[in-house]
Amino acid sequence: MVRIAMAEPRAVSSANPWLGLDIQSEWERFSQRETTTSSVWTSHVWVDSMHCAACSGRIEQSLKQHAGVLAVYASAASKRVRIVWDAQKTSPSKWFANLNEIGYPALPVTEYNAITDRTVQQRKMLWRLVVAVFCMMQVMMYAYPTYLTGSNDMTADMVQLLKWASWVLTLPVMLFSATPFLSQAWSSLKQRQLGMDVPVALGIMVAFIMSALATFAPGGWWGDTVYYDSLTMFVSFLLIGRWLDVKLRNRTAGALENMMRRLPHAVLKKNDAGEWVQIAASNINVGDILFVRPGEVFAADGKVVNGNTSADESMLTGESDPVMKAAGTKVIAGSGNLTSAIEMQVEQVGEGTQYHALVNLMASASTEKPGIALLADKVAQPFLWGVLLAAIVAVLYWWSTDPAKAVMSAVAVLVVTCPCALSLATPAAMLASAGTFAKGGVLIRRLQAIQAISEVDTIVFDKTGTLTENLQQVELAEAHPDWGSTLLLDMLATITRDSLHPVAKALHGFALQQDGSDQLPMQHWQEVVGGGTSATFTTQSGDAIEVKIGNARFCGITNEPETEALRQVYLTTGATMLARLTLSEQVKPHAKAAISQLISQGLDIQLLSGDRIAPVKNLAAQLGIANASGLQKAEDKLQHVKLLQQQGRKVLMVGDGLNDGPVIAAAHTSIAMGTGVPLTQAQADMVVLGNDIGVLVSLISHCKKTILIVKQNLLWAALYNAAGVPLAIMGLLPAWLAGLGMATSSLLVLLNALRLTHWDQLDWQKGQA
Amino acid sequence: MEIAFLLIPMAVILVFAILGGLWWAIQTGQFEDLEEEGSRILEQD
Repeated sequence: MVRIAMAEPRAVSSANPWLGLDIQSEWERFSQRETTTSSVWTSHVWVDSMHCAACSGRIEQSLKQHAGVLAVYASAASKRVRIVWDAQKTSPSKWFANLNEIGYPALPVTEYNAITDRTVQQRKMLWRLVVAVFCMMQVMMYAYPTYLTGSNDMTADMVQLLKWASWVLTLPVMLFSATPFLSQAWSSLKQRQLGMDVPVALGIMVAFIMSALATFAPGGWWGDTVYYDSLTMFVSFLLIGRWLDVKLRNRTAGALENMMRRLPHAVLKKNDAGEWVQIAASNINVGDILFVRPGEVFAADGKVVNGNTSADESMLTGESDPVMKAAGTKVIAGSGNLTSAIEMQVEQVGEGTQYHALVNLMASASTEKPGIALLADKVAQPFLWGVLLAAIVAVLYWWSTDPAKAVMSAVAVLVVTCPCALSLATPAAMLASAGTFAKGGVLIRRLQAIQAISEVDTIVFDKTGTLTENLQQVELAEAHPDWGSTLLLDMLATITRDSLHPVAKALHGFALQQDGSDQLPMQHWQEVVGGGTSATFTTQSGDAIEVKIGNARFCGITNEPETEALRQVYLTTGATMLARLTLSEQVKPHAKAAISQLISQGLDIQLLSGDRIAPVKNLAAQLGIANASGLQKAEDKLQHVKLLQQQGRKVLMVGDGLNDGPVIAAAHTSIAMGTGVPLTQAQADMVVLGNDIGVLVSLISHCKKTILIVKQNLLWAALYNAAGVPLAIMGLLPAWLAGLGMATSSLLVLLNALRLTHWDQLDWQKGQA
Repeated sequence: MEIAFLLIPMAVILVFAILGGLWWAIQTGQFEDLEEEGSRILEQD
């Protein structure tokens, strides 16, 4: 099966792969028309490689020179470029090609609506916060004089004016800023549940009504004390937590959505006249013949009808070897065409493909995820009932003697206990940690993951890309004694020079590194898919010898020695074996130390891989992992993790390939290593952007520290309430002191959480020899 | 002290004016990209 050099279809020889975007229905998916009649469009594209302001500057500069492009706004922080262009003068494929030329390949942002929704939501939350904080500051100013002066220092008119002014400034806080709490409390009451928002809303409402009565009808049984300052401060504190939460979630979600698009947008289809035409991927039908060039991704499931190639299916099946594809064999949408151009016949498109099945499997697995209740919520439920009960007790206790004091005491109970410290305790600590992690290259998608990770007792690792590098490590296992090693290396370097196969690339790199030269004169070079390459060299005596490099079958080796390496390749001429090389995966630096550290912490470490059993076992032995299995498909892994969970284990899954997606979604919690497929990252609770497995150890210990601080915070909040509530019931705590106590307790909680902003990623190595 | 009767309502109006300015800032996305804009000026086109 000699590789066929297929002629590139003439119709598209100079075509660019984005031509499919020039169909209006396609570009409408990521663009908006300026006005309904104009030909000016605004498009949003995602440029993953734009990292800094210099990149965005270069992009803007280059695109602005393009005829028909009216304006360009590039933002490196969001990795997005907004392009305003005229459809009569240019087309998307032209500026897509332009971006590619200058080294910034782009993707259309089709989820534009979701992104705008998120922006609007985030802005609204920030606006609520800003309104609350500004009104609070001014209300504080008005409240300050009444705290300082004696009862007769200010005229009654002045006191009344201050109250009115405070009321005016509290109105926006009540009517706008606090609405999320009020409406959530209302909906939880409708479901007959007592949420954290119920006492919050009750406190806000009672404090506001009492204050309003005291302002406009002073002298009734409700007295004449106002609580506007406590009220606005309280709302502001709560909103800070909410806003940080929204911001964090949006940042991670936006980045990942765009990377999920792996399938090509446009393909080459053979039309009825036998010519190749560019069509949008969404227009592919079953039975179409498509032309797929090397380096492209298959857009649909189907079978090869013409040509030979190898495909990279590692993301879908976990198989790290390229899979040989001859005429008649199946290819899978989402896998990559590696070596040569082929023609394929489409058998499944869109929802019917294996790629979509996998995506759906992930989606359904994620809905099965065990919900982890926040620690505070567990404490909150009985606490909330306690608070309400205490408030009622206070009212009953004082009602007969002094109704004003009764309601004041009840408000004091609600304000002093206003579960501010309690509701801040968990998010403050978790957000502090999340921010610290983000700076250290660890992104968190679900805050609950911090708690989940602190509780795990079993860690399941994927192999490739997680514990090992994707690069292949080459070793010269055997060399023919009669052939000089320089000549062997030169031949090895030369014969592997022109192949795109990952193994050939690894061998080529190895030979060059050993000072081999890839410039030997060589004739008749051929590459055989699923075998190797062969070529003819001329020796110094003038004889032509045919040299082959490849697997045992290709080189005619019958007695292949047993090995723990991932695979073996041979360099032969005729029946003589010149050299035997082994390829193994390179274990990541720190992997061994990190694993032994984790084991010493009492964690059960397991290894699941889609690769052959021997190399997996070998790697496990190297790293000291007792429990390792090879040949695991996505379903097997899912089964394994579910079994562990049924035994009551809390499983942390660390993976990177797309086939880990369902497992990652089903596990108690999960971490994706950043070089993996974006889809998996979208499912994983945390994403480690670096390549260092050692971060895991410090990550786990920092999560434990976070939960410790959460518990301290909760304990502090509980003690504070235990002291404050009796005083408030006794009527010994004026509302302003209750407000001050509430603020102080919240502040202490925040300061305690700030201790989490220090994270030494390398501290785990200190205990190592 | 009579001036306080004028200053207090004025302060209330000022707060609303400041909030108006902040509303504009938020809606035009002034707070959405705090790192990049600062370094943009250092880049030569």
